[in-house]
Amino acid sequence: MKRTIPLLIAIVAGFVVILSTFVPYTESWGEKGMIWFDILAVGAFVLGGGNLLKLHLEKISGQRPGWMYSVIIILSFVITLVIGLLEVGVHPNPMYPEYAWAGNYLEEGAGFWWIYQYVIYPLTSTMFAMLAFYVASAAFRAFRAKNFEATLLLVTAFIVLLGRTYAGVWLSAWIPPTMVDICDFFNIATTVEDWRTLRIDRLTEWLALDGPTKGAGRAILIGIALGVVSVSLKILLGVDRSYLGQD
Amino acid sequence: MNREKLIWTIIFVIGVGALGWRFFTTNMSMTYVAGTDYEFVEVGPAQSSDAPAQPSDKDAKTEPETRWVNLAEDPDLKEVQSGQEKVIKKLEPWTTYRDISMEVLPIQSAFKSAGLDPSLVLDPVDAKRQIDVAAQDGLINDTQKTDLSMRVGALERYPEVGLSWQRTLGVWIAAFFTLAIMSFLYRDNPFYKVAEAVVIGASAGYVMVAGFWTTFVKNLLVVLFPGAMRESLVPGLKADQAPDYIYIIPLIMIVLLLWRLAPKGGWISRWPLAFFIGVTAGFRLIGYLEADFLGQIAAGVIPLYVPVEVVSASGTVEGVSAWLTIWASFSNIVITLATLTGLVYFFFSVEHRGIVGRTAKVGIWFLMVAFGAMFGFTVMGRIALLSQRLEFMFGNWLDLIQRI
Amino acid sequence: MYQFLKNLDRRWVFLLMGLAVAIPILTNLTFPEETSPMVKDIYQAIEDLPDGSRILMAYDYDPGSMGELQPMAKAFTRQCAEKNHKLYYMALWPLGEPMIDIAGARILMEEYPHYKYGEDYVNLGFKPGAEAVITVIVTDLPKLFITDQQGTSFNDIPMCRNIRNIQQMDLIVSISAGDPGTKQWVQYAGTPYDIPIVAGVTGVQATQLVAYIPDQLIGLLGAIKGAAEYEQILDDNFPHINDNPDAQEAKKRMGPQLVGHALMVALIILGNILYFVGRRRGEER
Repeated sequence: MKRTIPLLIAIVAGFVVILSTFVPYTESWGEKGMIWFDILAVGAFVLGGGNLLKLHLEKISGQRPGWMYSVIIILSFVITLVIGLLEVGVHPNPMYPEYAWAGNYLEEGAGFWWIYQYVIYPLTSTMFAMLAFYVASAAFRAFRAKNFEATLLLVTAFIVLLGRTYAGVWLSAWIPPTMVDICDFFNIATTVEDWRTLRIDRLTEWLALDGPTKGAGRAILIGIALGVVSVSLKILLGVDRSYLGQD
Repeated sequence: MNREKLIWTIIFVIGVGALGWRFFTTNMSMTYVAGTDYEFVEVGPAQSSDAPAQPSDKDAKTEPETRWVNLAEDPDLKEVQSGQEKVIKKLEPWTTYRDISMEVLPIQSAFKSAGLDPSLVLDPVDAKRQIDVAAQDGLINDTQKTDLSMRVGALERYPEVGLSWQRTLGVWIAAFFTLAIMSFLYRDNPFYKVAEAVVIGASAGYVMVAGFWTTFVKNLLVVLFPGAMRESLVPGLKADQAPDYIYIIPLIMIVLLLWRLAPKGGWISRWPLAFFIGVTAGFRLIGYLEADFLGQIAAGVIPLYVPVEVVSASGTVEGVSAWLTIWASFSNIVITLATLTGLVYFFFSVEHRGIVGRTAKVGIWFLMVAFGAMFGFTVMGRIALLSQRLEFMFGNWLDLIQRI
Repeated sequence: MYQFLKNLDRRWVFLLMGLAVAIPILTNLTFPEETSPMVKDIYQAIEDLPDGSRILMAYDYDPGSMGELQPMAKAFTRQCAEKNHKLYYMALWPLGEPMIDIAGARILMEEYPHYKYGEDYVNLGFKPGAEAVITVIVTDLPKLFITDQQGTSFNDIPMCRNIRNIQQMDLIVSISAGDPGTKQWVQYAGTPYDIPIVAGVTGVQATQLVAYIPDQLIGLLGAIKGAAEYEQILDDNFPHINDNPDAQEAKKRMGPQLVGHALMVALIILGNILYFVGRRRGEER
């Protein structure tokens, strides 16, 4: 009951999905499985919310350090939930005016939109923006040319940092015409276009979006793909049962 | 410690004073909105149902005899006036608002620089009158008059323009939260902790609400109870949507999943979890095998010699460009080498010694170049995010720069 | 000096970074942009489609990456609207659904008033499930998107009436901040069903996705620089977009970007000088 049935469920569900890719007759089975998966994802959201509530209620009832912040977490969670589910401030959809509950839960000006616009949006975007500061500090403290490999990394980062702004063009615009002059001196026919790759901005494009990064990226993709495929196979063949937990 | 407190108090007082001064003298944080009115009435034929029914192309679910009319859009309602139709039901009118600060603010600053009261902008008709008066008094010249009238005239298309206090307050709250998070750079403090707590709670709530309206209602409830949903939450649902009771299974799975929160019998949540894991393993196996393994191997087979043709303006091929050919071929050689040596490096089943070791070493070099590029790009991304936040603070809140 | 820098409080570095970004914003520092070949490829891919083609606009990002991705999303919307393409918006990130309004529907309403909801563009809204969403809609779109975001039945929307699945899309425009995002579109839609994809991605992702180009992905706009170049190519080709300040968002951000990058380069150099001085003194190894 506790282990065998979930194991069977995982194996059957996985193989149905695989089968549906190859056998047209079973295509709709796979589709249905996927849709259930999507619906179940909502269950996961609810589970997340429930866990949050449980955790912080415990913290509050135990008066553990920082429990006041748990109160704020629960308050903001419940307020958002109530405003969103009750569609506070949402008007009916003009296409179906007689249905009061058929409005858009994200309607501009409504309560839920307000929370998104003035609370969630500034908070989440600032949290990510903070990384600009930390990355600067890390660059100053930890980015050292300790050996050849580190130097390679550093030099590439250097070129890319310059090349992804106007600094790249500004610092290296002279290179292509100079190369043409040099070639002229040796009587080699060439044009500015031939040497544009040497400009820092173009070199950056090549280093980061082509050439070495593309090649190394391909190796990484193939490596990861093999890893993911083997993990998936282990699950589908019942070899890896770690997701079933203990007992 | 006391000295630090004093410094912070002084900074705080000066800051609040400066903000107050800016708030009352400039457009700081002001958010302007335009309203759209809705006033719905249900109209039907004036005679009883023995009148010949009008052929309707509407859905079968709406009764053909009656229809909803927005009086705000159609104030005359000629049919009703001429007695062909009558009003059956009236709904409470409502207004929705949208942000038009980006339109209003430049006009306001134009008014200000012309020496006129910027608050006039909110009433375009009166504003035009005042522009005429100012022109007659010689306060503004003819060019200014035409320009200002034209700009304020553009606002006349909105039935009403006004300042939104909710949104202006929202900008202040957003600015407070932004500063609260940034205050962590100096030191951990209660403001940061409050902001952090709010984002955790609000995001969790948001995700649940989004999941409920977008999927729980529109993928599960509409399939299980199409009739009830059509009458309540999803009136746009097509009439022939038949219930599909097999969808009781995902509903049960959700219940089992949530059982985890119960004090006893939490193991039952392994069933839906196993379904999750099994399906994920199934589609990942296919997806990674096809796109990342086979797809990348196929993509990796590239020519090592890439002739680049020179094409004249008229479109004729004038031969092969030696230098461009060298660049393109070199590039492909590098890609191929990087892939092959990178793969050798990832191949841990063979000890990295001798020729394998040396090849793996080259692989590491290529990987290092890729990581360097990755680092550079990551930095670029982070700085852009910071720019966007500061644009909000300087533009939408402090009104020091043009808003985006 | 060495000791001072070595023990420098990191908050000074934070302050420097803050100023490096803030001052260019306040002084409105901008630089010219030149479009690179890949950006031209992406532009051309949309331009070469016949007018009125069907494009799936996959907005898979949230406020955390708006700074980089919003200008791209807006630029793609504008270019598609210039070509009268039919736009199908959807989101795989819960916090991403409002992006469709902010960087899509709103632009169409204000700048392209001839675009009618349901006939020229539709907001299909958000669905959870990541890859599982893509795997369903590649074979059956209305099965998952039973209604649009407004609650209208999929088949009652004029532009959706003949759509069975996203294999009927002429192009997927994927704006992505991570997983699920461009990678999943390539894995589950682009590669198995040969649907062309162009992408606008964050800096973090860009280098990880380049290996898909050109076979599985036409091209990608990498971070804010890619966005700025894309804005430039639209400015060059559509003069009225050039006059629109809202369409210059990324180009404006390239000013603070340059100073920020210069600071980073300076910090790396300084850090390494300290390292080598320290090594000579025997303090570091």
